[in-house]
Amino acid sequence: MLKLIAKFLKVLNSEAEPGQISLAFCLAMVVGLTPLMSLHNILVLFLVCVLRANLSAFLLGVFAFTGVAYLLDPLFSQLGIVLLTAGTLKSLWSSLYNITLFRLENFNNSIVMGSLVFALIVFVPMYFLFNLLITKYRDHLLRWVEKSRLMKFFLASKLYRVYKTVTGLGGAV
Amino acid sequence: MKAIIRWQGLGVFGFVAALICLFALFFIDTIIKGIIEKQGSALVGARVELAEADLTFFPAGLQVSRLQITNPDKPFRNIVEIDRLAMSLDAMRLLQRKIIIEQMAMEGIRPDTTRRKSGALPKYSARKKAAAPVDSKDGFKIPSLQIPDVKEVLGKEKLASLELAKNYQEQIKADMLKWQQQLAELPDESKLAQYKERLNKLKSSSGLAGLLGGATELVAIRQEIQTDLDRLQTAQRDFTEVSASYKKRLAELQNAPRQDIKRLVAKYSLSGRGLANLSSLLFGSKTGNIVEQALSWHAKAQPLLERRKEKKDGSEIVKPARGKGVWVRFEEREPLPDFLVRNITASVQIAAGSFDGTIKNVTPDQDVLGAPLSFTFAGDSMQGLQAISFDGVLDHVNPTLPRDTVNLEIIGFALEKAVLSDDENLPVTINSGLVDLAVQAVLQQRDVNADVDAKLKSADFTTASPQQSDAISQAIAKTLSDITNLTAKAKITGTADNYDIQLSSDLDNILKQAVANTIKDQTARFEQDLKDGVMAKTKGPLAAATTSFSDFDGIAKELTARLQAGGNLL
Repeated sequence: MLKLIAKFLKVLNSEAEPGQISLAFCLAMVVGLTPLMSLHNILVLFLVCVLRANLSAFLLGVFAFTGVAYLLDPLFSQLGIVLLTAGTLKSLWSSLYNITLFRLENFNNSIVMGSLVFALIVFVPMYFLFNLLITKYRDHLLRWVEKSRLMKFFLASKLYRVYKTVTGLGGAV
Repeated sequence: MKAIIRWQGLGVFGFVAALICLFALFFIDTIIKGIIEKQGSALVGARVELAEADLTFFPAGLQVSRLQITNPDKPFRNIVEIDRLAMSLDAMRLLQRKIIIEQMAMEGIRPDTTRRKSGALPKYSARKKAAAPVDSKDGFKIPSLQIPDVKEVLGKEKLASLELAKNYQEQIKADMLKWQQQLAELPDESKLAQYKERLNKLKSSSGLAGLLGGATELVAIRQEIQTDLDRLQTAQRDFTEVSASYKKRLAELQNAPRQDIKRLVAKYSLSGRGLANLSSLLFGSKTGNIVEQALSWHAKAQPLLERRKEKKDGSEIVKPARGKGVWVRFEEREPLPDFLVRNITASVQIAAGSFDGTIKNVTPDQDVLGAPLSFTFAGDSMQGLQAISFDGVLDHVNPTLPRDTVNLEIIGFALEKAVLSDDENLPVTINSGLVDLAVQAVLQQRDVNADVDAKLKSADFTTASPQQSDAISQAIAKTLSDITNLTAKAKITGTADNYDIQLSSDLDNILKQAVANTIKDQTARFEQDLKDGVMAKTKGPLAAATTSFSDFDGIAKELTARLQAGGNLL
């Protein structure tokens, strides 16, 4: 885990494309918020492998969003029930229900439906938000963070030693 | 921005996918074994175990060996143990998350087998401890066939005649006192003597003045006498009424001991009626236990027949375990339940041998399938059992109107050492005999309606009657030991929570006739003893009441005497 965080910090503080990190976070959000054993997560895994999404950010994101999902599951379930029982969508769901692929997807489970719809709706806005946050961080916060007490504490920590091993620099952040 | 596609990622994805497939290939059997054991245990409420599960992909199928389902009520026994269970699965439906088993074969089904280790689940056994234990002997007691001791009976029974005598005495004494006071206020002998003296004085007076004055005085005295006579007459009238009432009550009181005797004879003496329900006492408790067990198993089978669903805007919501969300079902082009076993062929092994049968349409979604669960089992030429057939339909197609029908027919079941009664007055055991049994039972919603028809042939009863037992017990014991054939019928009606069992058997009539004379003699003796006892107890109070009435009636004589004396003066 420490190695994972160190790798993520390295990417965050490097010249890597912010879009790669944001995309990884957004894909992690889909996997983390929705039940893991869902068919769409295979597609997400495929995209993570094929697209240039940052793997460390993705893995860290999955951990973080899974934790959030435990808190939000009741809300996702409510949202799922509302969507699945909406009269206007009934014919759509009925058609999908009769397609094997969608049955494998478990779309008729309230948590799967609620969390997936939520994740897809916020996917694009979150992508741009993460992009913006990373850019702002690098422009304004990075220098301040480097000088902060927290960073000094971090430099003395085990995590930093791992970070140095990962980057192979042995130098400053 | 660098190229968006990472081609080497395809290789990584392929590697991960291959890894997952390999994992599935190597561990799928263990995973399935775990799923069956976990889900089965949760469903039954006790440990469900299997030795091995083997999943095949082409063709899709599953084989399970040595499946043990623990009896949740008896953790060291299995409800059933199945040596081998093989099934073919519909692979395409499996992708739709539907477990459709076209054909299932169960071999070596052995009900009620012993377990080496307890199969109780900790959380279930803790819950079960709270439940009150069912006492199988509860309410089972042969009625006492001993003639009761008269002294004991009279010691604990209150005699109405004694109560009546006591009340009578108290009231008559109070009235006596009241009338004596009233008599003291009424004109008595001395007052009448005064009248007589005054009259005599008038008669002896002389002269005209004396005659004129005497006439006025005479009229006045006569008026006074008449007034007193009127008071005496009124008192006599009132007293006659009260006295008549006491006379009537005295007659009732004298008859009261006979009423007491009648009541006590009816209460304590033996009659054929007492034996008319002996079959209920012999078989009732056992029948009740069987009905309870059948209903309990029916309740346990409910998850296989129905599951909780609710409808919302035409879509059906199926509630699973908490925290897993809810599943919403939509209309299917080819509706099929999520779980269905279309056909099970089963071979059941019992101590007597084995018999075969089929079960069709096992699903908790009969409403989706549109067909009920049905089963039929039959076997013959077994050891100690000529033939058995067992069939039924558990119809939950309309979940609001479930109707379950079960028929059982057993021919020539050899009974051995079957204890009917372990009552110390009349222990009854069937040493040997052949039983034919037919049961038709219907459970519609919560209403039970069942008919049981049993015939016992070539029976050998043992009634180890103790030496100290009374003549009636001995007569019953002898009659039972002479019986070889008998029939019994039971009708169970009511609801599953509150049902009534009506039992009848020709045993009742046989016993009634056999002990009729013995009962008659015993009852006559008891009646005579009771009569003597009651009479002895009531003799004194009755005599006292008669004396009190005589004393009370003395007031009438006094009133009559005063009236006569007063009348003579006029």
